[in-house]
Amino acid sequence: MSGARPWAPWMLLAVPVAVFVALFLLPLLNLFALSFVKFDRATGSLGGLTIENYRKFLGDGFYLGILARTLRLAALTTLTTLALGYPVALHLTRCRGRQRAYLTMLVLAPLLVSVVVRSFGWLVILGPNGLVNWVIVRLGLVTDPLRLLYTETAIVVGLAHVFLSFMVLSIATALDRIDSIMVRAAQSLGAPPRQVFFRVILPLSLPGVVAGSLIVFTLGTSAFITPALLGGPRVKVMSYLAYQQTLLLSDWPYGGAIAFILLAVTAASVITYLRALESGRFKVIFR
Amino acid sequence: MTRRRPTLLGLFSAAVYGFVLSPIVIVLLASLTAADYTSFPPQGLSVRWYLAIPDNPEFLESFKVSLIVAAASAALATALGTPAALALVRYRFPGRAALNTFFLSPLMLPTVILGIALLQFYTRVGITRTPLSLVFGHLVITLPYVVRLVSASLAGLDPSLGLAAMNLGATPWQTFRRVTLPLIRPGIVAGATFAAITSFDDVSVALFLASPRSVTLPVRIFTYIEQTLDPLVTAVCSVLIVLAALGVVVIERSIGLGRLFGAPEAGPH
Repeated sequence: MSGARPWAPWMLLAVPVAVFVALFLLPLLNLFALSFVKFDRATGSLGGLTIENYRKFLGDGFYLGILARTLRLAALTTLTTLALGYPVALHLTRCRGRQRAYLTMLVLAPLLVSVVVRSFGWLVILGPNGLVNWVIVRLGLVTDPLRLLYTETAIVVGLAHVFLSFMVLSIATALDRIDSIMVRAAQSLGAPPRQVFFRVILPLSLPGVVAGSLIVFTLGTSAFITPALLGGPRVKVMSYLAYQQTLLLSDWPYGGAIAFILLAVTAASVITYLRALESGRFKVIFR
Repeated sequence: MTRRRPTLLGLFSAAVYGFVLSPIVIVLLASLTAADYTSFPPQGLSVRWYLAIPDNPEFLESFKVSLIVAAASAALATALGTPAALALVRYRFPGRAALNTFFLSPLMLPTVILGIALLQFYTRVGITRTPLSLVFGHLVITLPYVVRLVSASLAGLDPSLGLAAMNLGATPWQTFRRVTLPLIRPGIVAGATFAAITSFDDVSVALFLASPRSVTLPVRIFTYIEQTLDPLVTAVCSVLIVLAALGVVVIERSIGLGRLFGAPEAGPH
C-alpha cells in the first residue's frame, strides 16, 4: 500500500503533527532557549545569552542537595514498590478469573482517584491528628504525636503508594509470560519449591522487575504534586524547586534550567542502569 | 490452583492491598466528622461538611471547568490521535519510528517541564488566561494515550479484512467507515476515556495554565490544602472518590477495565 501512495500517511498525519509541533515542541524549544538567557532579579528583565543558570545550579551545594534528594527519594520509592510489589504480583498471577480481575482493580485503585485526593489521604493519615499518631499514642509508644508529615518518609510513602500499581503490573506481565513448562520441568527434575522460585521463576521475571523499576524511578524523579503536598517547601524536590522559581519567584530562565537538568539527570540514570544490565550476568534474558 | 487456606503470600498481599486502599478509605471516613478540624478517627458523626459544599460555590465552579476542559481536550485528542495512529500502524514510511516517539514523548517528560514550557510559550503568543490554554495543555498530555490505545487496537486487527473490503470495491473511506472503524471502536473509546480521566485528574500542568477565572477542581483542591486541612476538603475529596468509583463501574460495564488497562485476560487453566 505504501509503495503506491507514499503521501497517504502524511494526509493523516499533517494536522496532528502540525498541532503537536505548535502546542508541544515549540514551547519546549522555547523554554530550552530561555534557560540560556540572563535574568535580572532586581528589575525582572531578560538579558543576553549565558550559561549562568546552569552554572549557578551545578556550583551550589544547596541546589545539588535537592537534586541528590530527588534521586534518593526516587530510588527508595523504587525499592519500596519492588519489595511490596513482587509478592503481590506473584500472588496475582496465581489467581484466576473474577478474583484476579478484582485484585487487579484494587492494584489500580490509587490511579483512579486524583493525585490531590490521594495525597490528602496521606495528610490525614500522617498528620498530627492522624491515624498513625492516634495508634502509637494509644499504644503508649510515644507521649506526643510524632512529626511524620513534611518529611522524606512521607514523600516515599505517598509515591510508593501510587507507583506500586506500575511495578505490580509489569512484574505480573513478566510472570504471565513464563512458560509453565519450565516450572513443571524443574519440578519433575526434583527441584523443591524454593529452588524452582529462585532458579527459574525469579530470573525469568527480571525483565518485568527492570521495566517496573525504570517506570517507577523516572516517575519518582519527576513527581511534583505528591512531594509538594507531603514534603512541602521544607523538603523540596527538583520539580517543586522549578515550580517555586518560575510560578512563585518569576525567574523563568532559572526554573527552565532546573527542569532541563532534571530531565538530563533522569535520562542519564536510566541509560546507565540499562547499560549496567546489558553487561551483567542476566544479559541473555534482556535480549 | 484453588487455595482454601490463606498462604503467607496471600496474607502479605492482603496487607499491601490494605495499604493501597487506606488513604481512600480514611478520607471517606474523616469526611463524616462533626468537628471543625480534620482528624482520624473522626470526632462525632455528621454530614455537615457535605452540606457546606454548596456554600462554597468555587468548588462547583471548578468542577464545571474541569468537566468542560476534560470533554474538550478528550474530543480534540481523539480527533487528532486516531488518524495519527492509523498512519503510524498502517503505513511504513521514513520517520515513522521517530514520529511515534514524538507523539508519546509528553508521557516521558517530567510534567513540571511541560507546565513551565507551556505557560511560558502560551503567554508569549497571548493565549493564557483563557480556558483555551488549559484545553491545549491537556491535549498535549492526553494525545499520547489516544495514539497508544488506538494503535494497540489497530495492531490486533487483521489487515486482510480491509483488503477484502477494497477488493470488493469499497473506497478507502468506505473501508474505514464500515470495516476498520467498527473494529477499532473499543480502542477509540478507551483512548477517549483515558484522555478525559487524565485531563480531569491533572494538577501539574493545570496548576501553571489555570487563570483566576478558570481553575480546575484538582488545582482548587491543591491550593486549598496547601493552606488548610479543614474537613470541607475531605467532603469534596470524598465526592470525587465516589465519582471515580461510579466511573469505574460505567467503564467496566461498557468497555471492560481489562481492555482499558491492557491487563491480560484471565487465561484458561
